[in-house]
Amino acid sequence: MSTDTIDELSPLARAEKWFDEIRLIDAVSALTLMLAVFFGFEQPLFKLGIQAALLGVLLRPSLIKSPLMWLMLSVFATIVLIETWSTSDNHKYLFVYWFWVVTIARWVEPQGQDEAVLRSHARFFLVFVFLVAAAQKLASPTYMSGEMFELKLLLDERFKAFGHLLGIDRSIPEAARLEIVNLKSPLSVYTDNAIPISSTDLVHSLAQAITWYDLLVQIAIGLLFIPGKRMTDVLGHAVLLFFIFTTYLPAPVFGFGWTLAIYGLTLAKGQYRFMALLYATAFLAILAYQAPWRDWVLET
Amino acid sequence: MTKWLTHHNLKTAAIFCAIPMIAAYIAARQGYLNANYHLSTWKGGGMGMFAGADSGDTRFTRIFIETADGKRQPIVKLLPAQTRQHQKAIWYPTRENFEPLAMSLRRTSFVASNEASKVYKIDKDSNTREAMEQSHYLLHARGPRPGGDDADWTLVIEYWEISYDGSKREARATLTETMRFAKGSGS
Repeated sequence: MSTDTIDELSPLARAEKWFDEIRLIDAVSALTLMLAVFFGFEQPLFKLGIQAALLGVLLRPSLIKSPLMWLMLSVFATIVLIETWSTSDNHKYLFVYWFWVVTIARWVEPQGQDEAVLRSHARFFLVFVFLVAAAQKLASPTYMSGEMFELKLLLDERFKAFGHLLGIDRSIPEAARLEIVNLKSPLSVYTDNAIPISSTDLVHSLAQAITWYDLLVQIAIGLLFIPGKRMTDVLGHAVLLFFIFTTYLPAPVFGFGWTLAIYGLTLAKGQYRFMALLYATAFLAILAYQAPWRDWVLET
Repeated sequence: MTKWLTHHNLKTAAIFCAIPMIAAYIAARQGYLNANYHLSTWKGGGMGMFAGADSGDTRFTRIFIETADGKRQPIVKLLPAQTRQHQKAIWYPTRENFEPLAMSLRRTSFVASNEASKVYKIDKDSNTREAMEQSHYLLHARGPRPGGDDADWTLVIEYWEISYDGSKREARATLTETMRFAKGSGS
């Protein structure tokens, strides 16, 4: 497209053109920096490091290409992860691994290996994350029985609004939470340390459905990204996008969703334009999902 | 030395394989610690998020001060720093991880409720409550003990896990480990 026609493009078309032209490593670096700013560690060492890096990039944009800056952030993130290893969520590990991947990609950029590094690691992590998660679920009696999601729907405050949208009366999780509090109390001694829980057939059925959906979709994503063929990749992207768009609305693990979207974009950009654009939309969706919709749902 | 083992090949292998190998090792280690030491599936890099009914709702502790006559009084309120220590330990509930909390509690003074609270035995089927002879003074952590001396009593931390049977709609608490921290037991 010649430059004199660019001005005639709509803002959306201009954004698409900009998105098409931005190099993969630059797009991934910017999105990884945003991941760190929005959903990174809360520990002061990391916060100071990322804030300094962000300020540096705003004042001098070429700093984002510096392997040294990425090395510094990777070291800070690794120190924090080592300090908090037993309390850090699994996706925080992915976050640190990915920092190192970007550092290496920036390091080998002069040799033209950056895209290969990013793409091979993105593929590895998509297969690794989903197949290891699926293996853990298959091996977990509390997952396969549906117990895990039934307890999430009953006891996890973050799932209350989602459950309500699916038709679970608010009084059910409230009663279940009270029963669990009583079971934990040192002033209550229950026969066999057991207590009936206020669940319903609907909660049980929904938990079963979510259990099987979650397991099958994760196995599908993990397997589809193994061969590296066009057909399987396209299907893999479709399922991964479906997973990202549907999972991170009820499950507020936004940093994990953002990380998965980076992996997907890394594999799609320059290969499957439509999928890459959908991943770009997924980042916006994840930001939008942070709106306090749970409060709106529960207030109605 | 074989031909393929050149500096270039080693560098390439390191660039492409080092991080996946580290990730795989950490995941395997997490699996081992989860199976043997109750490290939560949500934590530790094993990618087992949503893989088990193993959250803060289903892990809990009962913490008691036990005096020489065997009587136990439960600690129901911790100081903010102790709450953070407790939250950290509950995800990987080893004695070593509970020790900082225990040592802190042994150097804490407490406020007790004015009256002892009765312990009730509750039948899970009929939901009837029956007051037991046993009663507790509920203890609230107030601050450091004057002088910071180590107390004579024993601190008992019971670590419990809750399981749920969806077919019976019944939750069951299981005492998984009891840790005792007597005078002079701190490191």
